Amino acid sequence: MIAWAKVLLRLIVAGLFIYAGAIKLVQPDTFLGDIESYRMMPYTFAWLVVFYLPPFEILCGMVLLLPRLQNVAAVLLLLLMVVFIIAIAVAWARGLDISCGCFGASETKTNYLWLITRDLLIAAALIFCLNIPLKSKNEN
Amino acid sequence: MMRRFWQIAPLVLLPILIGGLNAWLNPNTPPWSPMELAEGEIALEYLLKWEGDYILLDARGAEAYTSAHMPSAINLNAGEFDTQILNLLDVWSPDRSVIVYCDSRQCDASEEIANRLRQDFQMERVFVLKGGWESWTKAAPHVRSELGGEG
Repeated sequence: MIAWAKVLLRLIVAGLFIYAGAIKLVQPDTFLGDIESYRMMPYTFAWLVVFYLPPFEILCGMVLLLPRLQNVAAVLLLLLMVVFIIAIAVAWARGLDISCGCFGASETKTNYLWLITRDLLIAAALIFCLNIPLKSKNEN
Repeated sequence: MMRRFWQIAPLVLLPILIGGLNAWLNPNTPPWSPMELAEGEIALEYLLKWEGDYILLDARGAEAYTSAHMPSAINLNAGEFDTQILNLLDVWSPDRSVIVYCDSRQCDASEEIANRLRQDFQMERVFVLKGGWESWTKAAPHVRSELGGEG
């Protein structure tokens, strides 16, 4: 039962990252504006992030579907979620009016609590998706 | 250890290749430098050397416009476009360029208004002011005074 739940969750999370990456991949100018609204990095660095992050999300999302490599993708995406949560929390603390940029231009209103909760849920799902062997080698 | 490296490396390095291709081929690729101008954009400093006559359009909301605006700018925002467009048409002629600005580099209002003027009113000489209102507030005093501001 848990195994099926993990498969289903992996499918959902992978789809989420592939979708988020694809939207940002086709609209780099919009995504750049979103990143700039965080005022966390110089323009040139933001420009590099704009082109690096979407294919990274798509690739990790796709690899999350591969049973043998799922842990690698899950850990990388987990690190990414930590960065996202910190960035949103910092913007919130600084009182900035940001556009999350997480799922392209469709998100216009800033609800910090919801953004952080959503990212925490995705992070929790990624941890649940991790395939950690529970039995030690001696037990086998 | 090496196995992990070979699992992680493609995931970390492939996006560089894909991102590079995207930056090269995507029509929506933003300029590499904030100083570089996109098509249809002009920088505030360029207005000093502008030879023709131009009309400044403030695409921000009425409240922001009333609070402060660039010298001689006319307010034309998307929300009141149908009524405010008459103010522009009163003073516009084909030999006058139109320069639109909104809040800052992150806003889209000036681009929207500029596109609408180009498409719906066949105005050819419409430009977006790079950096918008923010570029005006941060401009050097001599730039502001030469453009009719308080310096």
